[in-house]
Amino acid sequence: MSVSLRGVEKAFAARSAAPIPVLHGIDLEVPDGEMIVIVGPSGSGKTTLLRCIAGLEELDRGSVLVGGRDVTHDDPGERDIAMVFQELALYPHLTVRANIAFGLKARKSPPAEVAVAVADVARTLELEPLLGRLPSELSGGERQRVALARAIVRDPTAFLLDEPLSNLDPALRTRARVEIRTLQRDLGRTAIYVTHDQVEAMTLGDRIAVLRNGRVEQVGAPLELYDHPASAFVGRFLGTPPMSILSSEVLTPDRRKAAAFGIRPERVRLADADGDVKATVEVVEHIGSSTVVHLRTSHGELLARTPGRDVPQPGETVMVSFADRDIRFFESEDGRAVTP
Amino acid sequence: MRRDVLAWPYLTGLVVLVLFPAMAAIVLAFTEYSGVQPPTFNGLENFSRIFDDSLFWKALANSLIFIAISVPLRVIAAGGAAILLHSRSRAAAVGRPAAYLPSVMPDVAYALLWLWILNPIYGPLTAAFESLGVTSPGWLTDPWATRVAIAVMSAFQIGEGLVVALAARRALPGSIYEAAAVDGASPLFTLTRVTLPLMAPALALLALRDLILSFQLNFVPALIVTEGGPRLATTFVPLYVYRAAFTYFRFGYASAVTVLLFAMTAAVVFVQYRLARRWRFV
Amino acid sequence: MRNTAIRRVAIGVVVVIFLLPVAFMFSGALRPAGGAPPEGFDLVPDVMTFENFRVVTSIIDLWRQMTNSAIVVALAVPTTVLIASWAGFAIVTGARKTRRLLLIASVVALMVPATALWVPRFVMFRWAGLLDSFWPLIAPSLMATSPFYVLLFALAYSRIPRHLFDAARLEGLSSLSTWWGIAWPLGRPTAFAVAMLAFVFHWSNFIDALLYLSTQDNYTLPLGLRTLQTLEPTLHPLMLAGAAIATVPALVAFLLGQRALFARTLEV
Repeated sequence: MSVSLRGVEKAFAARSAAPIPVLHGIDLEVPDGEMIVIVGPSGSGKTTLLRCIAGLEELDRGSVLVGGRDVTHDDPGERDIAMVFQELALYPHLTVRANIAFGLKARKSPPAEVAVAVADVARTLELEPLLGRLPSELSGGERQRVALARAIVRDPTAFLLDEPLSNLDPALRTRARVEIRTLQRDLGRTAIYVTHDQVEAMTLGDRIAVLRNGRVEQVGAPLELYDHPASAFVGRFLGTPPMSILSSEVLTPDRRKAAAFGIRPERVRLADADGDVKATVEVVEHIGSSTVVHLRTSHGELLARTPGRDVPQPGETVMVSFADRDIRFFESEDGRAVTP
Repeated sequence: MRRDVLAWPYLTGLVVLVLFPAMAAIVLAFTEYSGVQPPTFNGLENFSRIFDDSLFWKALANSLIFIAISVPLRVIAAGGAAILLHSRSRAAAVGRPAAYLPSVMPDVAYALLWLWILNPIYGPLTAAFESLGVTSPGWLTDPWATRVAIAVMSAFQIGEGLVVALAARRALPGSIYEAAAVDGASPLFTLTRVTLPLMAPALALLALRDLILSFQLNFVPALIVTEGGPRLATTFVPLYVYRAAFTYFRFGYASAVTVLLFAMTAAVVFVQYRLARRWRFV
Repeated sequence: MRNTAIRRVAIGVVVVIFLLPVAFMFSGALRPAGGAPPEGFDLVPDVMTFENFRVVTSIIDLWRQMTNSAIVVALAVPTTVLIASWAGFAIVTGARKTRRLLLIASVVALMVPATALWVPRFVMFRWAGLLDSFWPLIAPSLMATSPFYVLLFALAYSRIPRHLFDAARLEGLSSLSTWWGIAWPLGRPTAFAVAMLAFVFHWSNFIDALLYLSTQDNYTLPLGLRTLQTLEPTLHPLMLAGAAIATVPALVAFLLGQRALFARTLEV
């Protein structure tokens, strides 16, 4: 079912000071069955937003709707949503089986149904051999799967995931990412996934919502955001290495459509002679699959990424060029996008 | 070990004030010692006298009755108060010192207070019962009423237990409570399925400590409020030891009782320890 | 929220129940002594008088006994804080073996019934010629008065980031300098809390005074108060006035230190 946020505002009380606003009127529509990733730097309010949807925080203003039903004033348990916590929050005294069954028992489901549901989920997530163990006897990846199992066993209308992979090592994280995506597609349930990792955001989401200082900066499909960022911030936040944002002074006057422009590193062409902009090579980073060249221009730093390894050395001066269709214009170096 | 020098004063204190006296008690237990003449070895004489002394058995029975009433009361009071008062709300911030307050009263002052409260003619408790139209049990005259009164008295002074239980409650991660809330668990379900099982080891430790404390907890009330009566109903083991040693100067005999106390305590600790091993899940 | 309301009411009930003893004590102390038995139950007496507080000081040598108690407290409290703080520090920063030893020793000491130590300690202090002096009353401070205080310090110091201690060790600081430079200043609220608890303990310490003090002039306040036990029931208000006088310093200390204990040490 769909999840809708209407004008959600939230501030935290501060000791002997004015409350600190964290969310300034968030509007977001998540259609049924969609996986949306909420991404933003730390302090942007993404976890608070998720907790507001779960009902763990009370809203100051605005409303939360799940499947069209206003749940703003419902307790977390009445919202028919499940959540996977960053700390996973498994009950340390309960076995894997009892952890998974906890929510069903709390809702007084008949024991026979609980047993069937737990067995089903355990099969799906390959947890069957672990059912008798305590969380302290599991590996990080196993615990993570138990947390997922606990969320899906109730068959909720929506899932909330709060950086669920942040405690896994990188290799495991990639695998778990694929598992979560597959699982969500198979179940066909709405999911809201919070992360600060833009790779997770790009790969997991049907859509991405970029949050900044408690406001939604842009919502859209991953590649749409990558190709047409609504602001310099989004351009810089999505993609590694990030989009370079420079003052338009660098460009020849006839090409300047706004005060600043951005260019993706892979769109920067390192030419030898007939380029548009003069730049000095500062650092060269060999990633293996590609090479990132840090360049200094008269008006800021510029990154270039090339598949080849044969690149100019630090200290050399090179001419670089970019095609008009690859340039994105912004009101300022930290401003909204300008469509020419 | 040089960097651990700061542990030495404390360890030395424990050796001098706990370990050494404990060993001395074991030696004295096998002697006849009045404090005037040097102790003389008399084998198991003291122990056989203890077993023949009906007053000792009475005192032991009284102590066990006291433990049976006071330990559950105190653990429930301390645990319950901690669960209720652990939050950061303003009400809890007022409740915590209030719950600790009776523990701050000097034992003697507290005992004198109850001497008045329980007085059958002048005491407010009798008056309170009568104003409710109920005949007041004979506090200080009826054996069982007096035993219960002494146990209830002890249930107000739970400060240290409250601190331990608060620390234990505070150590539980907040995220599992949020998980329980999202799982739709009611407050009662959360209490019985999450909080209590997770606090069980700490509460068990508290019960154990309390059980041992109970051997001395009732000393001051028994000495001042009831003087061991009525009809020896509140002659508990500590009062028995005190009188044997400091009224009749039978130090060897009192030491033998002490050694029995040690042995009983050690047995209880051992049993509890074996039970508690099952709780090692965190 | 309904649960919050239920919680508040429950907290209110707990507060009232636990305030009862102190309330009764003051209520009793303010009644005129020598009166007839009360007719019915009244927490607030009809007639109130402060006379009892004056009279009780003439029954027992209250000021002298208070001075004696103050001497004991003045020596025992700082010693307790210092030794408990050191031991707590050693539990947190010491070598594995030391930590185990300290923890096991503390738990075992907590489990030893105090009653069991009366006779041998008495014999020991008599052998040392320390009976009827304050030393046996001060002595418990040499083992931090209670292992409980050591554990409170350990709890507080365990929250100090470990790397601070590691850095100090790499700098070549002695454990005493590390304690003084890092643990002590960062754990000051706990030192305050333990000082408060130790004050309450030593100020109230009755049993040790009962066992070791014999001369009237050496009586500490708790032992002196015991004399009031023999007052006949019509004079109980005098007895309660004495109890109240003895309670007030402990009460004040507790109210000053309770935030350090609950909010700063337990972080509740």
